[in-house]
Amino acid sequence: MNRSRRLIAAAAAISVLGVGLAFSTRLTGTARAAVGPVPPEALALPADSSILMGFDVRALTGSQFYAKFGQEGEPGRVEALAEIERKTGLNPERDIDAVVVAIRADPGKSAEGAQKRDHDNALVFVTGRFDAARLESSIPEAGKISKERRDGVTLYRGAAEKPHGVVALLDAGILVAGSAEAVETFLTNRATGHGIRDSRQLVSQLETIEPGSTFWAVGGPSVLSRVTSEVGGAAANLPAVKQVVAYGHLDPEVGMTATAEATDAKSATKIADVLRGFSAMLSLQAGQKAELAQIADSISVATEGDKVHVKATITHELIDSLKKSATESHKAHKARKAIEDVEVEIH
Amino acid sequence: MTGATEALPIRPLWGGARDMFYIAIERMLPRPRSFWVFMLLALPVFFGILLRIYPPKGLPLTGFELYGIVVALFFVRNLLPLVALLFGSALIADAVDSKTLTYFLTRPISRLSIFVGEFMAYLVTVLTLTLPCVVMTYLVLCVGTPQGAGFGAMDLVQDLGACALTLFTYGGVFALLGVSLKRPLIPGLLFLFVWEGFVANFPGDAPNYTISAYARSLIRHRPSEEGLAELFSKFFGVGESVLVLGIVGVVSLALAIWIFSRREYVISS
Repeated sequence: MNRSRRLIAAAAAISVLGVGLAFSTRLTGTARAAVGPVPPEALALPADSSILMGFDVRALTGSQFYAKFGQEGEPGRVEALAEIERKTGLNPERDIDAVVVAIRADPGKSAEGAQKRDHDNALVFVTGRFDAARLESSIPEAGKISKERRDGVTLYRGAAEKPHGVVALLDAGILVAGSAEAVETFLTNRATGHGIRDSRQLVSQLETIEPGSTFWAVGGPSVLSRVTSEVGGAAANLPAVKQVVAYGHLDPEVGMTATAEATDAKSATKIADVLRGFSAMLSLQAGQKAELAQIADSISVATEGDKVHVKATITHELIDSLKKSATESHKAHKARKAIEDVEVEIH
Repeated sequence: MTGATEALPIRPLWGGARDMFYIAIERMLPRPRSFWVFMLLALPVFFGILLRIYPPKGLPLTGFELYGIVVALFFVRNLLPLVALLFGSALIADAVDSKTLTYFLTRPISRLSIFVGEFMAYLVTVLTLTLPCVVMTYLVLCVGTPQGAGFGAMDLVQDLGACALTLFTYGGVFALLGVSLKRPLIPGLLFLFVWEGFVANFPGDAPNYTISAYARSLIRHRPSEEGLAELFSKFFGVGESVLVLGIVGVVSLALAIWIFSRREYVISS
């Protein structure tokens, strides 16, 4: 029994130490988070946020994907980061570690202008390396901004290109930007200990996100309705979803996992069928564009009770190829338009 | 002094099973068969190390995705059923071949104790061989990657549970095969590669009658299937899979114990 006992003990030790190592790196590594991927300081974001999303800017700007596609006009250009750069002068590659954006639903307003409404209700939480003096000097048109100091927080009013926009510098590495009302809510939550943790649904959604994801988003019922109302067509008739959780990475290929919870299994099947139909349509157009078949192959859809799981993996080469064909078709379109203009002038 | 012999009292179930476990584990674990099975199970670790030393250019997978493929396809779908066949079908057959069964059956120990002890030894042996390989595969493929070790740590724990349940269920089924048939290896291989290999990927309700479809459903980070498998593969909920695998394992074991308790073994010289 001695030899067997030694073998069993060795196997148990390897297994326990390995699992322990996996969990210790989960707790102490970059994946550390108070609630899923949300850093402890961001927990004061409002609990009634209808969409919560975030980027690991360090991982994003350090990725091969960003190096290939992160420039102006490229598919990897993240507009939210470009906007932060425009409004605050902060350089995402140099100054920012992570961004969390909370968007609150406003049921009082109509469906029109949803885009505008999103911008108004968005609260942006940024962690990085910046201080008050540097931020002040980097905010464009600083003369228009009024500065206020309150409870250790520096508030720059009118900083978000709107009269009611506020940028609040919480300490040397954290800033919050949004409408005055949203920033005030954040500061009140921070002082009273309220925020995301008050919403059990948000917490459970956030905890399902894989640690280490470069980008992620969670949302309630309004998420899909926002998307589908803008897309229209068959997507507009999609059944309502209760919640959506999505996350992904950029290297070595772009991978995304999304799980939507429908109201029942039948609705989940309907959503899955629409997605499969979309994938089949892409396959049918493979004759004109071979890349579309590759995209269709990279999407997998599965249902599990009232849940729909979607996984997509797109290689950098495929994105590059899509970008090239889009540029070519854009050029061809421009050339056709120029010829038509010349013909009109001749006539 | 009387000529009559008094029957020794039968040892309690767990006491007898524990004694059997100690004897059986020595017969199973430190043996060449276990060594070669371990080498087979450790193949992903060796290939993972090679992959990390000589990373191929343009590999369209992250370390964690590769680990998912290894667990779902190499371990759960192919290798663990084979390991269960090798060890599970030999539970009683080995004792018959080595003629130690005669010794056990003439001891004051119930047949139930013999079987339970043997099956416990089987479980400990296969888990000793399998779990370190799964953990090492995870560490080798995920440490130092952009996602890093820790990404999917919960999945690793769930995978270890899925592997243990797969080994239990297949072990029960092959133990039943082992006590029912004199030469269980060929029927077992046919069952694995014909029934489990093909029927699990058939369209319709056919996969409902395979163990493989339930076992692979336990791997939640499984890679997306391609071709016909993508169209026809059927996946079940975790609760349903655990329940079905548990029931199949327990029922198979109960049947195996029932057959073993009633079967007459003739040990040829």
